[in-house]
Amino acid sequence: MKRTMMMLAASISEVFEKMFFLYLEMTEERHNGPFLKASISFSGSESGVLDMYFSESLLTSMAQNMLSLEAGKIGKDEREDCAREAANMVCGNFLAAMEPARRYDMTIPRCIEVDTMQEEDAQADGRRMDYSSGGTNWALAAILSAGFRGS
Amino acid sequence: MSFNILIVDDSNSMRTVIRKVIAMSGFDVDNCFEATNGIEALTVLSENWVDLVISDINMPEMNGIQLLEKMSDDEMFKMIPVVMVTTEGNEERMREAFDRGARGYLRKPFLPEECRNMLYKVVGFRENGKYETDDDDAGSLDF
Repeated sequence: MKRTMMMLAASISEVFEKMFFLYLEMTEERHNGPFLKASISFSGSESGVLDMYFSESLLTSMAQNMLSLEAGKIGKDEREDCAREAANMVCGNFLAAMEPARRYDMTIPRCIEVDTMQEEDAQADGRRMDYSSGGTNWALAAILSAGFRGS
Repeated sequence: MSFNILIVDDSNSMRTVIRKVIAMSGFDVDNCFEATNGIEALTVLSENWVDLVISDINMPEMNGIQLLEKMSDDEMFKMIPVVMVTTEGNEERMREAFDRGARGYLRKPFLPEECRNMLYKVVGFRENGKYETDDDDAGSLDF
């Protein structure tokens, strides 16, 4: 599982640096929310779900950088679109790195607003990674469903 | 030489990024059409002259592979070069796209210059601002 999570972390870094020009730091701190949660399911030789919880301020920065817009021009649609696209890229990139020769089908990512993290996700030690960035309110948590191991 | 380009992606943000990369890349673009899935893309293709299609794979209604299949069944559409810009990077998926006529494949996430270089390669545009047709035999181009 450690190798799997390291590859997921590498995928998160690559997506955030290349597409959103953001450098996130892993943290032990657990954020309480509220969040926008983006979920994407995948199936192939193994099945699973990747859930990503974003703080609003992080999504605003992502949309600002990706779309070159001022913060005041970014609304719910832009934030949700960035959350879905980030989950899609992180998941696709992660699966391609884990098992390049195997085919996985991914669903269209779904987004919901949540006040707090679901209990199951909040306690997902070993399958969960938290990120922040010094001096900002950025928060991101990525949780890989139980059972996915990769080969 | 100017182009009509169609960008097919269900993400408005990603369409915006690709449109900006194209604008910064020196392409002479007449029209930049957009579609959110394969069905909308086929409608745009049937109503407009399009020189290049840039398409995602994972989309609702009709995905990018299905769009390639539909285009390859049409005498006119199958001549249009298609570049797949997608998160799905496994070898089987790439082979599937090329088998159905894709000319190029770019994995998301990408740097703007990676996107620009792929588009240059597919349309035969050179860094010196010339197209291959400017001083090569037209027959050497494959579209």
